[in-house]
Amino acid sequence: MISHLLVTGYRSLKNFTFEPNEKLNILIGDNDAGKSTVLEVLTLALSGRINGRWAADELNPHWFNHDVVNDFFEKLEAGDVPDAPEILIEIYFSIGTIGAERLRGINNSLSKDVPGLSLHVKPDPDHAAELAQYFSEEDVPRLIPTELYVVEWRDFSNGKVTRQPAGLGHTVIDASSSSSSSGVDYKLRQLLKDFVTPPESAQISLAYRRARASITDNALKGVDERISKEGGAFGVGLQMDQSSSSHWATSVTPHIENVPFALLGQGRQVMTRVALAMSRNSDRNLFVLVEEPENHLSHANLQSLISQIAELAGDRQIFITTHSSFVLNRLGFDHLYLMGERGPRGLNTALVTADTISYFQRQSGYDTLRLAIAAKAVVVEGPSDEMIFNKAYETLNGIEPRAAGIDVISLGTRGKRALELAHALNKKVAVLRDNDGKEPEHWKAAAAPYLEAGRREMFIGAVADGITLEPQIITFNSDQLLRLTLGLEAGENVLDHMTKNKTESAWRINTSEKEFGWPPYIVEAIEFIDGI
Amino acid sequence: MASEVQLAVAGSGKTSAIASRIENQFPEAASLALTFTKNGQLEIASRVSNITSSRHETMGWYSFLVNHIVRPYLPAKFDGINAHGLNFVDHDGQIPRNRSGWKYYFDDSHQPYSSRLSVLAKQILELTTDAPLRRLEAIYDHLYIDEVQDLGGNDLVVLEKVMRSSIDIFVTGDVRQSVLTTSRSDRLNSVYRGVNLVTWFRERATAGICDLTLAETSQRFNPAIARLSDLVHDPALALPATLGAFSGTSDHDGVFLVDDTHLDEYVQEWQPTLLRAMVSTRALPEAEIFNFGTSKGITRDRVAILTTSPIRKWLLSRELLAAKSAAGFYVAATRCRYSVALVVPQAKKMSTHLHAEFCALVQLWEPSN
Repeated sequence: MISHLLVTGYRSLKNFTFEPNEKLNILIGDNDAGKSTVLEVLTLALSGRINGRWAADELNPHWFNHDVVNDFFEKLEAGDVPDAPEILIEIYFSIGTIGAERLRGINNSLSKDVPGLSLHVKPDPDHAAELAQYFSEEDVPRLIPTELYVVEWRDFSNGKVTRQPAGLGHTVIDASSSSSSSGVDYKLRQLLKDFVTPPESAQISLAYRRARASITDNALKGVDERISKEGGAFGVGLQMDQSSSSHWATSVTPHIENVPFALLGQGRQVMTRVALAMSRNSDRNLFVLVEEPENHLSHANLQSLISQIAELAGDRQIFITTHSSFVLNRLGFDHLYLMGERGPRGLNTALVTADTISYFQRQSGYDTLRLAIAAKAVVVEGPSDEMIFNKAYETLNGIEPRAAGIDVISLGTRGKRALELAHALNKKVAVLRDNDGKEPEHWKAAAAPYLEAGRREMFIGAVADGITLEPQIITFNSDQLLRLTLGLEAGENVLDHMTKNKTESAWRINTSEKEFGWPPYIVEAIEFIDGI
Repeated sequence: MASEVQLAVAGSGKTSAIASRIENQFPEAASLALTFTKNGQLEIASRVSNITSSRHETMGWYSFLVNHIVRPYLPAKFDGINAHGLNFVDHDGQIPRNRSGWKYYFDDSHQPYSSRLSVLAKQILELTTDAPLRRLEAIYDHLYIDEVQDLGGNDLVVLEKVMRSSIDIFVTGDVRQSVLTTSRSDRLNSVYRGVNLVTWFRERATAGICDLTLAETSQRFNPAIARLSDLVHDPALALPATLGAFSGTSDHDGVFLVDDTHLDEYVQEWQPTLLRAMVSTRALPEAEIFNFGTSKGITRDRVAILTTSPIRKWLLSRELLAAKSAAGFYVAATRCRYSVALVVPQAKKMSTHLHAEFCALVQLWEPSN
């Protein structure tokens, strides 16, 4: 199993380490945080390929980390002679990984005696002089001349690797780019090959060769005879392609209930890929990389895909990127890794109870992902709390919370689970809740294990000021202001109206131009979350 | 697991013993066979069926040292060296002087010098507290070493460490046939050179590192040739007497003395393969010809050996041959099934002066007319 991934200088992964879980790894993070890049580097170092083509053929200047390249050219322009940028990807396997024994050695940047693979993009020593010449020119565009670079794929015994080591197969399930017109691309072909046992494959090969030979001997023979009779063909004849590149797998397509793969909906295509990749015969696919399974899938399909993945996982190590809380919650958010600058941060699983994990597995709509991704989060009970908090923040600070990197999330679960999750993620979070007739100290005591001054705090209005949001607002604003804002008739009771129309009332306050007074616990929450 | 060492006489089927062990090993087991010569590697590879070959590999001793001991752990000694290939040198004298640091062990393109490879391997094992062995243990269940008599010096240090690993080791060879050696410039363990390697194994067996057996039955040749072969090496080594179990007979069996002026007639009558100590300008009759060293591994019906002066001295006085000459002569004398002819000047005179040990064994051959 992969115990350690180390990347330097590749795309957004400037200086990146990741110590994944043995079984399941769910990578979450904002767009552009580099989630897919992690799957990409895994593919590169495991197979030497990217998008089905050799790394050396696909190498281009955009592989290099932007900062590293800029830094290099700035030094160059300042007259220094900096080392040319390089890319290094290292995958460390745990000792005992079947099939990786030969890859063992200490030829890696951590000097660890374990099996592993490394892919190193570096200046070609045979072109050192040309490279130096190139960099010494005036007005060089800020691009790395990759034609003067080599891609070295080696294992930790420092042996050159030329093909994916047997037993360390990987498969990529990627719904977002089913490019080829037949729908059968390189990855799917690979899966088909693995799906069939070697003796079966040999049999199919033979039959396929025979069939092609028979076309050559029969149908094409007549054509050949006609051509040669008509003359002027200079001996040109036609034969079926019998070269090794015309492998049977290129002419075979999977189908489901007689519908060929290409005509399946994208959802079914993804499901088929997963079924092929994780079938029992594909036990050489030790690593399964799934990119955003929620794309192109209906909720029902996503649900069955997720249970399929969880069920078929077996001893495989799985890496999934996702934007969906549903995926995260169903697979168990204790496996989440949040993308960060230097590498994904895992959850401190010691701080999460099995009870909470199973709670979220059932409450799969719960927005754990948003909480995990947010730089700072304010958790409120419902939509009316959210609108009031946003309005208060905007009035006091002049900007929306979002603009200050604060995500206001209504989670409606009275805060405790959210606090537990935030604790495990070591997140700065403010939880606002109603007092429901009990003093704030009571609620704070109940949540004490998850609270930490300055990091995770709870904000609750005093009982005397009202037991829920609405009476609190009434306490701190004049009757007249609220009546005007809410557009009430003379006989109507403000509290009655607000309690019956919570969201509507909050919306009216939120969109009003007037100045309001804010309950102190909300103001305190704003001061807390604005602090560092 | 146990390490088994079987030192066996020529023609006792050492290589087939390895081949049959490979064929009969547990189907899931992974194995590696090592031998010094390219011919030895081809020999083993050709005897192992295709079915087992996916779990079996055969490689040379130097490749083994490079790929499995040195390269994976080289950063423990030298950083940034991409050890690959081999720079084969006969002895240190062929390496330019004044190379130090990594350059002492490698040429400028990072190919290791063969004569210094085992020293480097030993150092890497020491620096990494035998990490390469832990790696090998994870890869292989069985390790077979053929032609072990070709190892010497620091190779023996590596061999001993390998024998102490948990891999199941089977070592075979014939100490009497050590005509080649991996490290001629290696001064370590020089007392165990040549046939004296048997002493090294006896000491290891006493220390409990390996089980040692000496196999003395040869299916290749008859008792007379067996007797001759036993007289080549130092009796002080107390090697068991060879049993020549070949029972085929012809009109010309045993050991003969042939006058060099009669060589043409002898060749015409018996068609022997001619064996000589080294290439010389001497005109020889039309026949198959080998040097002692390169004749290793072949089997013929008859050979005629062009004797050197130490061999003749030995015939007259039993004065021992030098270690390397003895090994070469032993190889030559054990190539044939029916007859060995010793070609000497003035054979008739010599036949009356032979040392007592040879009197009953060696017959004078003269042309019939």
